[in-house]
Amino acid sequence: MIALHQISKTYGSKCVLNPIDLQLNSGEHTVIMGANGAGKSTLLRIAAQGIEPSSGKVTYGITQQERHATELSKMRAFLSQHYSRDMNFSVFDLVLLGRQPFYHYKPSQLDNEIVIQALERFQLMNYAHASVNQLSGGELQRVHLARVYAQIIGNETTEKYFFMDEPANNLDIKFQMELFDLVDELLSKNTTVVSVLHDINMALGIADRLLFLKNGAIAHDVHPQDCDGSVLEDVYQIPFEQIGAMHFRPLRCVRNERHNQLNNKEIFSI
Amino acid sequence: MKKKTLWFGILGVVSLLIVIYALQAGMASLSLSDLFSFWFGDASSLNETSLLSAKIFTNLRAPRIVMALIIGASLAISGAVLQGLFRNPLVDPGLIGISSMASMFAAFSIVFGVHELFSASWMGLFAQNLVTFIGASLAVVLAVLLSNRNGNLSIMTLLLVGIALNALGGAVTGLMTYLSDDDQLRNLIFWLMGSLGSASWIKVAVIGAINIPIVLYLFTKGKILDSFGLGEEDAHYIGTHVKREKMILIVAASLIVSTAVSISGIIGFVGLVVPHIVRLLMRKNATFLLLNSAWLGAVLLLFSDTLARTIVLPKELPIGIITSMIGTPIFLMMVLRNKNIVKS
Repeated sequence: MIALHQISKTYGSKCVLNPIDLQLNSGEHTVIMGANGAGKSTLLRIAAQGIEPSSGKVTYGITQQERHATELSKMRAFLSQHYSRDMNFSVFDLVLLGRQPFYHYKPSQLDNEIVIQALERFQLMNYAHASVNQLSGGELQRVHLARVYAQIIGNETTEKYFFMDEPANNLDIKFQMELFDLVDELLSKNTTVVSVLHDINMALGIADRLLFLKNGAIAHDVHPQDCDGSVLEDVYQIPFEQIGAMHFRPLRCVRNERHNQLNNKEIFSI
Repeated sequence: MKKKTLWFGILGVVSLLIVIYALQAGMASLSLSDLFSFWFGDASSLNETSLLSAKIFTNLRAPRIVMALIIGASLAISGAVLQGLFRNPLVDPGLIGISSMASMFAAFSIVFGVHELFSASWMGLFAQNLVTFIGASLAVVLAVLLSNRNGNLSIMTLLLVGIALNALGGAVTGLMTYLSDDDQLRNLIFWLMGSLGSASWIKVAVIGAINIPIVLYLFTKGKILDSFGLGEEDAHYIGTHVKREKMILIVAASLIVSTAVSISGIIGFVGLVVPHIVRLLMRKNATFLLLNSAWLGAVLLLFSDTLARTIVLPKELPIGIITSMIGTPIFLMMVLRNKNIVKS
């Protein structure tokens, strides 16, 4: 559980977030949505303590503690939106970065095993010794996914927090499903999952809770099933028919359907 | 694994050969037995030439070799650290203005004879080094202070401040060159192109006491530098204290360059190119890069210095000329080779 207390953020004279009080629950996937510049990423990064708010504080867990960065890095992983390909790493070494919070100078046997497990899960074993700068955009995203997986999965803490900024970027449908499986697995372990998404269909499919930001404030805080045309019209400022034509198809919750033993083909054909 | 062993093997053998070559190369030649009797036995048994040679070896050549190793390692590891931190392979320690501010102070001191102020005392020996060190440190302090935003160093501002300091340093050094007489100009040119000619055991002790612990400390920072490869915010997400580590690394890397520059003058190329060569040879983590940059830097500088002092006997070339002459073709060759690898 994450609690944001009167969080605000200004860059120079521009106010990106008005004071917000918000609680993000564990075992729940909260998806933050909104128009460009609404403050989605800022809110996500503040909740993850990646940037400091201009005012207010962020607390973690039922006991509502303020967490030290080192301590937090053992229970929180963050998948960013853009990664540079311009680095001198092998795929293995890059995924190993996810284990950094857990060792001092030299990774342990366990760390290496977890890296291999992560590589296998995202089908990267063949690339393990390839250089990162030779990968495609999608492959790079998978490597970083494996990295945050290695960071969040191996440790058996009771509290876990997982953040994603546009995680499905560049991923093909197979690895999108793989990503959602991972989210499921984390949710079943009572992780607090928060992400920023643009794709309304995807958000409706995988979210437990939708937060719509508008001009730096939370305009709507709804369950996906209660997300109707009026909400979208208000947030994106265009008539619902247009949104419908472009995006909105009432896709059922992918995750629940998977749990309901529907096979993959049927999900994709909906 | 096999490639790594081969690499260490080759580098080890080459290093050893270079050290042996450096020990025996030079005007004064002497036998091992003469040397041992000078050190441990009866020095009076030696004839005049051998005695002189033994003295040259012990008091001039040996400290110079140690000095070359320390300075080479310092310059190269400093380059590796700053390149990693700035996420830019074109960064070298000179870029934040250390070398040019050091030049400015050195030129000032040479032309206005600052060292003569202290000539009566033991300070006279070090005055030039001290003044230069103050210049180099001033550059670091200015660059860090001006780019500090709430305890967080802005890399971009740091580089911009560096450009400004470089311009200032260049201008003042130019002015000093203009004002200097023939002797001063010669002195100045040697300083600007680097020389280890002033090495002595006392200077080795001073620079060793500062630089060796810092270089060893930097070896432990490989993990941190790796995390900076992701960018500062993502480094934070995997548990790196970004602000603190950035400050520590910049100050440590600058300090060892400042001491090096204050003793040897400006030796270009080593800080920029040695980490590159290591990186192109093998794709490995930062700990590997740091260790091998220091090692290769030490050996390369020793080799260059040995050439510099033997190639035009009995005179001596500025070492900067040699490092660039050796480094440029190696570097270009590796860049081209690497380009082909990427293409195929």
